[in-house]
Amino acid sequence: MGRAADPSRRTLLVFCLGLAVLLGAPRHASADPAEVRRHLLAGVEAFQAGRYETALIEFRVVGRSPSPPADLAFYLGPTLHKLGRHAEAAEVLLAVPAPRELLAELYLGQALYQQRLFLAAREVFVGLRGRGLGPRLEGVVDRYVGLVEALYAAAPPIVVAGVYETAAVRELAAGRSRLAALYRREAAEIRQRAGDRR
Amino acid sequence: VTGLLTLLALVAAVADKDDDACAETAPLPAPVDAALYQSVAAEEEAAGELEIAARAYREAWRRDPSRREARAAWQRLCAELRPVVPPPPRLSFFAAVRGQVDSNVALLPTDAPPSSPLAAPEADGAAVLLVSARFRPRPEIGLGLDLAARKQLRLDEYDRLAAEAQAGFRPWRWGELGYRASVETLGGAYAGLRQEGEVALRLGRWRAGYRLVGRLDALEDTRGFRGLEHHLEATATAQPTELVWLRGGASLGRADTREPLFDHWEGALVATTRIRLTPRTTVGAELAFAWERYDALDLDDERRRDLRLEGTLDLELWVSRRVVLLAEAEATLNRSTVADFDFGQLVVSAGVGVAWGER
Repeated sequence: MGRAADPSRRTLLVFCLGLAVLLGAPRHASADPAEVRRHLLAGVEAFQAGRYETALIEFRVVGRSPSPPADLAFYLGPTLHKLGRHAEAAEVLLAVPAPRELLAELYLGQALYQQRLFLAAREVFVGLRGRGLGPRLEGVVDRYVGLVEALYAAAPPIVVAGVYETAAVRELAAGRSRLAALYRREAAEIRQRAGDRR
Repeated sequence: VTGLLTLLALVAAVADKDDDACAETAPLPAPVDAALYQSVAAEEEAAGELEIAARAYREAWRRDPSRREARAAWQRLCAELRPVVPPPPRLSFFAAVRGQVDSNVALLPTDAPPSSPLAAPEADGAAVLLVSARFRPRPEIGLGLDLAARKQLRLDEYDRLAAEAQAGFRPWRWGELGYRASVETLGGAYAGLRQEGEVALRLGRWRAGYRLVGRLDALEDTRGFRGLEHHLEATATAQPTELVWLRGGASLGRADTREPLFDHWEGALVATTRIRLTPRTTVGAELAFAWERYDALDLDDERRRDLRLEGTLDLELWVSRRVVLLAEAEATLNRSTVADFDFGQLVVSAGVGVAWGER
């Protein structure tokens, strides 16, 4: 009989793990939902006041609670984007299954655009059309779509695909697998547009 | 222009809404979640986000002052983020107003050796407006533009307008090249062109340079000062603690001019210190001792020898990460064997600067 099946050992292992979680640093945030909500609110207030560094810290604290709110990514992603950490912002928002909340989707498109994932950004922006963004944000979306279409009016040189493939490796090494996948997809699209049959 | 810069500074201060991560904060009465903030800090530090890490470490300590390690980490990061002498920012603007009193205004026109041996000493006050811009498109390239306008209270013929352009290049880690060109008017008349080239070696805290200055003074009574100045300069810096920065320097110069009356040797010793009082406040002091020895006998058959003592005190207050206020007082006392070249000067300045990019 294998060791893992030994009930007394398993109990000991679970006990030790539990003790490690309880005593280990950092501890999880208070399981008290009110406390978690307080940090979330502090983060939202900081974000609205333009204090993005403070907002990020509060959202990170919320993320350490045993059961962080499902929509935490919608706060974290835009904050990272505002801090110029576009790759992290995109990865956080990509982790949320579509359809995403409207503004989160808009931030995702912008973060992807900043990461030069133009085709992926265009896809996000086109998907936002007609979802009731309002005239001002619709204008923003149209401007981004126009920029990407102008950029890809002519097929980019094949060498650009190599740049995107390198970026995919870099993002994968940084633990951003979703972003890496988008870079690979963008590279494949560029190769196809450039007529590369590899 | 000062108004515009002040407005720009206010806008930048408002835009920079997060308080300074390195400013002191009072501890909270009830510690909550300090460990979480500390773990966020560690994560951000590992990601290279030192500003956010410092902010989170400070919050961890604020929530639990018994966490000495959090405070130590905050202090360590802030020493790195806010060095006593920060590296130059990518883009900066600075404007200052200055009031000055001079005991011998005739000696004002030139920065280097007093120029007008025939002018009688006459005291006056002046108001000066200074505006400067610095741009560092790449870490190894620096560009700058300075504009200065001086209005005398009484002696209009010494009203001055000056513009100076600068370019610096650091092709290698240990080598620096610099060029400056300035033009000025005095009393509304073109007064001259000054050009300066410098090559310097920097090895760690040591720097040694050679500076060549070419001057084309246009005014009648300073025209003889057309010529070249050669300067050898050496400085060494030290930082005995995270809060104190020291620099000592020595220089030796030689002026070779068209008019031998102006030819002279000069030397100086300079000691500078900057001390950080708080994460946002730095005080600076500089003491310089200089001498000049002229080759020729003066019109009164005197050989001119000057001794000069200069002292500067300044206070730098960063009101936000981008906006700095500067107050400065400077006193100069020059004693010469030729009485006409004795002078004293007192300058008081107040300015505001706005900086973008790393600092």
